[in-house]
Amino acid sequence: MKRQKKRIGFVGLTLAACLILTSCGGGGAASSAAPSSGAPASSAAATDVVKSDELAAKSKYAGTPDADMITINTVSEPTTLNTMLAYDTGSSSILREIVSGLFKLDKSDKPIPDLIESYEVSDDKLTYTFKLKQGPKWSNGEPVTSKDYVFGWTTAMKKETAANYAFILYDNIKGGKDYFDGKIKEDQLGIKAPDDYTLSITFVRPIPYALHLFTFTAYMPLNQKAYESIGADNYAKEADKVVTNGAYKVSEWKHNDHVTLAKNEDYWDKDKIGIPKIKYVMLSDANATLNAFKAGQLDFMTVGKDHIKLLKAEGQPIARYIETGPWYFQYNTTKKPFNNAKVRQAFGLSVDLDSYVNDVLADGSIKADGVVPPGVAGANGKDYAEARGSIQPKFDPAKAKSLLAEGLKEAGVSAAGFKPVFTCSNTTSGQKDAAFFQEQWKKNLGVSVELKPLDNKARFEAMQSQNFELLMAGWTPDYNDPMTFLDLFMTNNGNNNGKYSSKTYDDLVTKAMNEADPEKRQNILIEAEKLLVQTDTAVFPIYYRAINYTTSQKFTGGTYTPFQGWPGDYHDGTKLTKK
Amino acid sequence: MANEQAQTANPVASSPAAGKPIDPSEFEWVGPNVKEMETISRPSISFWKDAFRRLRKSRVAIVCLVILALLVLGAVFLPMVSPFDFSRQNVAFSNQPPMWVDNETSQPHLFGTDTLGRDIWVRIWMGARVSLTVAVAVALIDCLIGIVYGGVSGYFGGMVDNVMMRIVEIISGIPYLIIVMLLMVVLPRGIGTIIIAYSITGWTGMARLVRGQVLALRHQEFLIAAESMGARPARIIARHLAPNLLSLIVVNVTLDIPNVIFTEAFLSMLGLGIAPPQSSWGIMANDGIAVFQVYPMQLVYPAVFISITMLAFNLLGDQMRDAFDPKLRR
Amino acid sequence: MPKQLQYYLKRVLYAVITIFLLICITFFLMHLMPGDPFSGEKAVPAEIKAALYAKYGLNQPLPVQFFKYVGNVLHGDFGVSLQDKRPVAQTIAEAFPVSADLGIRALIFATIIGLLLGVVAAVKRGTGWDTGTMFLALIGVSVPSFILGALLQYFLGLKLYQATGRQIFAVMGWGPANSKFLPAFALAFGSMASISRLMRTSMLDVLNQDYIKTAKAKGLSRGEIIWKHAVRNAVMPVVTIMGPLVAAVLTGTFVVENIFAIPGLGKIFVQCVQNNDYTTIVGTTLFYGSFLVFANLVVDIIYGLLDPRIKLSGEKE
Repeated sequence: MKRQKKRIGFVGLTLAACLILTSCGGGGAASSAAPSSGAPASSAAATDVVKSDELAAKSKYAGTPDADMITINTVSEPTTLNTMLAYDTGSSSILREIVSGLFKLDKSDKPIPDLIESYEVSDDKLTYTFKLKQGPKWSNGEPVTSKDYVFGWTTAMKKETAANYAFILYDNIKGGKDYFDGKIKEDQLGIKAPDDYTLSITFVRPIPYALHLFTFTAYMPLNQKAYESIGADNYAKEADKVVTNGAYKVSEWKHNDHVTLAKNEDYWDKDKIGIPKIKYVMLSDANATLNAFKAGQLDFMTVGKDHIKLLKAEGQPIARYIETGPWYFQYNTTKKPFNNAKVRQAFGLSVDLDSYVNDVLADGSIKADGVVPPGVAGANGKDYAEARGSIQPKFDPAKAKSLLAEGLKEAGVSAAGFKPVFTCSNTTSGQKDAAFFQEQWKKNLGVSVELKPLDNKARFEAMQSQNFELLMAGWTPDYNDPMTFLDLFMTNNGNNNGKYSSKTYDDLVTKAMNEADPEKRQNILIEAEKLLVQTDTAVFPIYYRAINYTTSQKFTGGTYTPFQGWPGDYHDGTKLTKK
Repeated sequence: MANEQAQTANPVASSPAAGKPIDPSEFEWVGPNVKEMETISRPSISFWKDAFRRLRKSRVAIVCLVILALLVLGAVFLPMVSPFDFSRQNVAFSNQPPMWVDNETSQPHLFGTDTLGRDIWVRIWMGARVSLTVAVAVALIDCLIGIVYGGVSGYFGGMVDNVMMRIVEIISGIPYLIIVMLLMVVLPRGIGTIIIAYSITGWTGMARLVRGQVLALRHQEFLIAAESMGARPARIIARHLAPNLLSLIVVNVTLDIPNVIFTEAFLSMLGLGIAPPQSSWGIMANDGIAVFQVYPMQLVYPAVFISITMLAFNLLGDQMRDAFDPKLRR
Repeated sequence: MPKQLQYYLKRVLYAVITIFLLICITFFLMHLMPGDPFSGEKAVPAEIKAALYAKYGLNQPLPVQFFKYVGNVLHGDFGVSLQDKRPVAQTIAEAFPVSADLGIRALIFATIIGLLLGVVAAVKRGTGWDTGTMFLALIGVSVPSFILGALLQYFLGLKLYQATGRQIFAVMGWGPANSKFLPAFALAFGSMASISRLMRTSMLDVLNQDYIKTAKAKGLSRGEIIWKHAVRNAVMPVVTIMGPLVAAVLTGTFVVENIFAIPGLGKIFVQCVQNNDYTTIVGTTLFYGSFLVFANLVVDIIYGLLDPRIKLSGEKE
């Protein structure tokens, strides 16, 4: 018996090893065999990224079998389908399909009129008056009127609604803050609805990106009758408890599993809807996503760095989008020795960013030129980043070392006991990035940095309560202007997590805010950004992130945009490809 | 036994005198040999001796022990003799195949390089240090707390037992993810923290087991006999309870180690493992999973090491259970 | 038996106290966790955070929050999730059946295959069957489930689909029949392995017993001996390990649910801990805890009824 057992043990060992070996070997063989059907492997591998609308035509995968429905991965459950309460991109990308408002963003993120006939702006640029379309209806049969906007906005601004994004209303609308605090009544607000199809809104100050503001979910209308009959506690928590007026209706919502949208036959512009049904599934594992896509259970997916090579080898086309937002080292300027600009600079200069972007990220991400990324509007219809050029300091370990020595001396910190902590995300990729930086600092700066991996919630809290020394942070724009990036570092900005405080910088940005001439304004902003990055190094820009994605053959017309993500929206240009 | 001897003595004695009539005077009555009856024909083998004798005889157990010894020796010594530092990166040459010769040192990377161009071979052995240390330490701590807690609970019984077991229920009911996350934030992310975090709720299983065993033993005749003969608790615990418990404990420690390795891998998946640049098999397996469709070997190495270790411990545990099983005693 | 009854009542009372303390400790511990249920990458303005805290009752001192929560629970109100603002009870009511469905499938799978493998290995002891089945069992206990799940999904989900052109096993989701096999198998594999190993040992033990020899001598057929006499007796030790197995498997596992995108309780639990979703954390802990405590209680009581020799710890000696 003992002999027998021993044999089992050994066979078990070797076979277990074999199973894994062959299994993975099979994977490799399959991926290299796939391109034989199409172009030669070498040229297939050499193909770089394609344009978004070429994906469907070049795709190797047929996609989901349903005739009139596409399946999209939204990664996690949308936290809400209530326009007032939405704060995450998952929720707002679905809401964009089911609720319409005054304006919407087109494929190039330009605000265009949606449910309005016309609008007027007062001479002081404070009051906007809209003439609403008379056709659009809610899914409960009620017409969409100006009352719905007033109800939606006032409800969202109420303290007891506790909407995360309420500030985007009350910070801008006249009387908003007082209304939020319960000091004034509804009729004292800068929102008026003289009749059912006329609406006016008065802001506290001229807002250059006001039209963009009207596309935010918080500025969407809300049907009072529906909201009150369903009840605030239950509204928009199930498929049958939400009343919508957009291109799609919520036909099914199985929580934590999927949301299905179906074409709204009563939509005012229904001819533009090219896809009858959209199913959003919630798949967070990268391998599972890839497998599901290949097995015809998904029609769209973002491709992680690790799978780009695999798909390219198969000849599957990949499209790429560079995010309009920088990632940078954020230093806590209230903590020694990071209160010293030389130390901050040393930490940035000692990281080989080319190597980081090309070898570690290796997904088409671009090394940063400054805080403001390309694609942000500047003066005279040109890119701001183009006018500015690169202000990014070059990788220079020698200079970094001497700067660090000087800086530490100035800050009164001994180099021997200096062991800074880098707070990073605890995801696999977050820890890998952190390991790279750690090694760079060890090698190029001679500093051993301790890593502190934290999950998102803990990291945000550490970041926002200045409970960190050094971390990598990113910023996504709220509107299309360099100001959305640069006012971030003003002393009193609530998101100035590094607590950088410079009177010169504050003055420059304030001056730019009040400057009417676009050219001059731009120059002031460039000056401010140079101060921020080169002189003071409050943050050290690292890169602009690339998102790689691919679709099945099933639908076309979607594209990534900075403010909407994928696919812009489905009721504007996307359609099923006819077989 | 005496009879038998007499019988066997008979033919031997009679054979030279074959053919002749037997003379009764040649025989004398020896009577029952009381002394011989009392002697033990085979040397007395204690329970432990027997167990180890049987364990030594089991080739599976020996092979497992050798594998484990090799793993430990490898973890201790191989990183020292490797030409590469475990945290050294060569990102321009990441994901290289096994036996790839490094462009800087002209030394081969036995297992190739990972996504940051680090030597997988040396990282496997550095990972073994972490994984094995954590596994063994956690299993031992679990067992230590479990024995004391379960022993006290089971021995004293009654209200003490009741209260102690309710506490165990509470502790095993608290989501250990919360505790692990809390400790990871409060304490520095070192190997010590990981050991504390993993073992802080892990001992409850062992406590239950020991308590159950003690409870069962307490009412057995040999204990009642010992008690009624006036043995003190210390003697009862040392001479009677401990031997009966130890086998159970040794086996369960062995079987607990693979569980800890699993737990470590799972928590690494949630980002609650050891912080870089240190690594563990769990972290390497998670990194490997991310790329297994592209670079399968990066999953195979840690997976094979985890599996081999688990197998060795599991089989060893099995063998020990057999060796310690009084029913199988020969 | 009033004395017995009294004892059981006492045990139930203890169970309730245990659950209360469990909730109490969990409640205070989770508030120590770093992070905030409402925080995001962009800072939420202080006044809105205050409004959110007020709305969800987080602005009161912790002890007040705790007793309010306990009061609500006694009225059957488990609060609303701080993440999706839906009632926690409803989320559990939706997710638990999914986890239980998956778990029961896995258990049935693990038990049937495990027992079968164990019996085959024992009966065909020393042959290739024995080696093969025990090899399977060893893989089962030595490959982490996140690796096994990923491999199953890749080979039986994707590769099989690519080879046959038919979706024999769905890669992800939970609904159609073809989506339920892989996750159940991934979940069952470990338990299946331990069941088959245990069954083999137990079966070998039984096959050496005298009554089996008697049965043979009586001229019973091989099948009858194995299935009627041996298996019945050999299955007893397996039954004893089923208790903890059931509890572990029914309440969901994060790994399998995450890989196969299954809306079960395991996934929800890990997510709520990561999101500092306090109400969902206590809600699921309360659910898990009650499950555990009452399962233990029931097991104890059944043991007491079955085996009068076992004196329960609370009884007067």
